[in-house]
Amino acid sequence: MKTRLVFLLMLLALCLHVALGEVDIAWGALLGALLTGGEVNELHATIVKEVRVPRATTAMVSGTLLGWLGLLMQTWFRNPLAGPGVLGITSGGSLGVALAVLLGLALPAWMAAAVGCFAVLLLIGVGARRFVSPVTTLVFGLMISYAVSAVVTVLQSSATAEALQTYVFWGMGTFGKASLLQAISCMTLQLLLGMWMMRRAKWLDMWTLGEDLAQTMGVPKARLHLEILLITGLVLGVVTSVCGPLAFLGLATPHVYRFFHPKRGHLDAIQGIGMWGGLLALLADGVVRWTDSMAMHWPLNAVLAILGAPVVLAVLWKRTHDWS
Amino acid sequence: MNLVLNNVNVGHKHPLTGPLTMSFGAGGMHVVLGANGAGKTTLLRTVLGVQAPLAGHITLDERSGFLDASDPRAWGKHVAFVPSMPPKHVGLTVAEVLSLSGPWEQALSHHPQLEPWLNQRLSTLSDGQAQQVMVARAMLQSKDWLMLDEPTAFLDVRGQRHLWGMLTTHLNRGGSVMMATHDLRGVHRWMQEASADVLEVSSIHVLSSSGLSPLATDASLDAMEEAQG
Repeated sequence: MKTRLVFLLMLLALCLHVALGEVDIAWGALLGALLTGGEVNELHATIVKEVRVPRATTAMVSGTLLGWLGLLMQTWFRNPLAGPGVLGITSGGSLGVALAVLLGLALPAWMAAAVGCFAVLLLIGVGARRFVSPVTTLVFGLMISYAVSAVVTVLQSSATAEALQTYVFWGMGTFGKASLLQAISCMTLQLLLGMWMMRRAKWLDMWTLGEDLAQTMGVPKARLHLEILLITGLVLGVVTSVCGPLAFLGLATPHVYRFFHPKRGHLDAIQGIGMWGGLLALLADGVVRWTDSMAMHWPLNAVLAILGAPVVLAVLWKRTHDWS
Repeated sequence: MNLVLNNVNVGHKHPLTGPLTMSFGAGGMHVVLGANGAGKTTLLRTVLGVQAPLAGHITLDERSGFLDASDPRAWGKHVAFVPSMPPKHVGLTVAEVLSLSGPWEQALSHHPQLEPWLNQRLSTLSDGQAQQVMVARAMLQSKDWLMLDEPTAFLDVRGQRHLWGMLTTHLNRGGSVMMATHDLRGVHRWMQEASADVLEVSSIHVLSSSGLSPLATDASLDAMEEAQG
């Protein structure tokens, strides 16, 4: 599938996402009023500006960011099943929210998640020089996840039902809580991460050839490692604090892209995966909003898993030995 | 440019051998034999600059001065690596892999046999084909030294012949080769067919805990086997 087509589909999904909803926006009147400076329907303007646009852009941009992080992790660990979650950053966010909500601290969930994510990031930063190999980092992330779920379980056992519900809801993930400012922060990050990845595309290509070989070809391993850890941590911390711990997007998007384009270096993959990530996130959120309108309220993470798990399985089934 | 080891100790924490002091002549084929665990790979990684020596210096004597293995950027222009096993799971095509180190057209002019694979992914080639691509890539990166770690270990007879042929091409263009290998038969045959000029600067060494001990380049297969232990 042509990348241009995916881009157009992504834009179409974005427009539909903003245009459709439970409230019928009188688009003709609203746009006309904005252009001519006439009387604006306040309710419609507010819905568009503070609900639909932040939600749609956050979905699209988060999808792109997570897709990129997935690609980065799969390349760095040379493992098709690596995703942004492997560093333990998302678990840190869960711990932050669990502490805040279950202990009843007066802290908004997004801030608690951010604190948790960046605490883990700090831990990684301090230990980075000791994480000589990708495998060490992988095990570190795994252990963080175990420790966090243990602490959360302990906290849960003595929490009120209401606090427990808040925590569980946070864990379901949503694009619907993003403010305009948060959406703009995510877009800024997208620009930064995109530029950094394009700059590093050649190093990442070399890295796929092997650790020793890449180093003899001029990849400074320690520096690249540090950059990957810090940038992934930063981006994932922000996305997790805005949207909750999102599953599957980061893991599945590179596979969807590779399904259509098995033969691509990183420079192409960055563009393609960015668009696929945005498109898939918008589609998933479309399903969430559709179930909302039917009063079924499927959580975002459930939709992502329902859509994502078969995709990953199908891809692995078809291409057992062949990935990048 | 000669590759010079000056009191070099290689190993992880503990030196695997006594201090090595040696000069490997430019334009030659330098074979390092040794039993498993003797430290051939560690020596190669150290010479490549991937691993720092425990002691001593590794340099290339250039007219303009010395290059040191601890300066990876400059070192990589003159020393390139071919690992034992061609990489798996690579999304890049052969042309893209070559382009990482230079214009792929240049590789084709020396190795026309690569042409039909240019647009195929490296992962879809056989080990023998992929290894030829990896050697061609290394030759794009460095016109001087190629370092090979048991490059024929996974190749069938035909693949081995292609590989030795490519190394001969590299030497004929004025390059130098250092290779750790167990392929005594291949070494023996290559040395017998090599030109006198190349043989003069070539060497065979056996690496053991006591250091690098030289063998004559016209040593018999039996002598090599015995020396390797």
